[in-house]
Amino acid sequence: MSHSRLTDETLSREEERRLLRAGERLFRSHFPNPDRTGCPGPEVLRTMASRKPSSIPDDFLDHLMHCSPCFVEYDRQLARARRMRRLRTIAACGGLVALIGIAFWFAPGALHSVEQPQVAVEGPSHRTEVVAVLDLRNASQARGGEQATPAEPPLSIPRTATTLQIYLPIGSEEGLYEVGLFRSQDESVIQAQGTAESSNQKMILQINVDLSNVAPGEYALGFRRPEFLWRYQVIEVQ
Amino acid sequence: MGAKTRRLFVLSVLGYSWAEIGRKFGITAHNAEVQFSYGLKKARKRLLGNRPSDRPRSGSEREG
Repeated sequence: MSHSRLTDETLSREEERRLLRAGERLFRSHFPNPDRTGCPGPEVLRTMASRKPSSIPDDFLDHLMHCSPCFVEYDRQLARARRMRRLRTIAACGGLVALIGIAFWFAPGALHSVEQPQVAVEGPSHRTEVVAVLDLRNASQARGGEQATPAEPPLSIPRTATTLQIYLPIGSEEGLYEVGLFRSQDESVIQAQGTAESSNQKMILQINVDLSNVAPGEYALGFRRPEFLWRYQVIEVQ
Repeated sequence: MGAKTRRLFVLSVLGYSWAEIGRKFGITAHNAEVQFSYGLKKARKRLLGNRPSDRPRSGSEREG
């Protein structure tokens, strides 16, 4: 006999809801099975509840339809499994948000001595220009004769830097400056001059440097207007 | 109600989505829902119909 053709019509939502409620009442109470004949046991019920329906055997489903205690217990385990899945999803999302937040929290700190990403530009001499920014506006410096002991971790610049942009301390004046990188009070590894200019409420002193021959480590960056005392800032060349 | 329709029904009562139920039977969610509705209507007809249609269970009940 040929199959009747299935028409593309389903129950209305209300019909479906009423039917499911009736079905639930039926399965929960109309099959007492007092001897627990054919019951799979609580462990099996728990395992099946955690599985996808595609892996639930048909005979297991058939049993649920004819054993109210198993149906009730399975329904309970299923609700528990769904709750755990929801909690795991929430925890995973929360963990991901926390990780992103931590990444953003720490990322700026790692770049505190370089305000901008190093801009690599091919100059006319075919040497890649790398600009390192040293913000000395709020850092504490030692004056000439004093030990340059920092209160906070030293600022750092990469050895690949070709240009230093120094934001001079608040109150600094425009004009010509001498700049030196000192390994000790009497030993300078770099000497340069530059002109400080005011820009965007910052006093910026820009000098060209070549640190390729400078060994990594801590140095004192000194700067002064001619005939003034040196001011030092401990920096780390990396 | 045929065996497949009953299984469709009990899975639906347990709160599985039609998509999950369809995957179990290798059909789409919509197809699962339609097959269930069809099976239900057939069962209802057999229960409530007064026609002399007490035919023996035929191929239409073979719901694999």
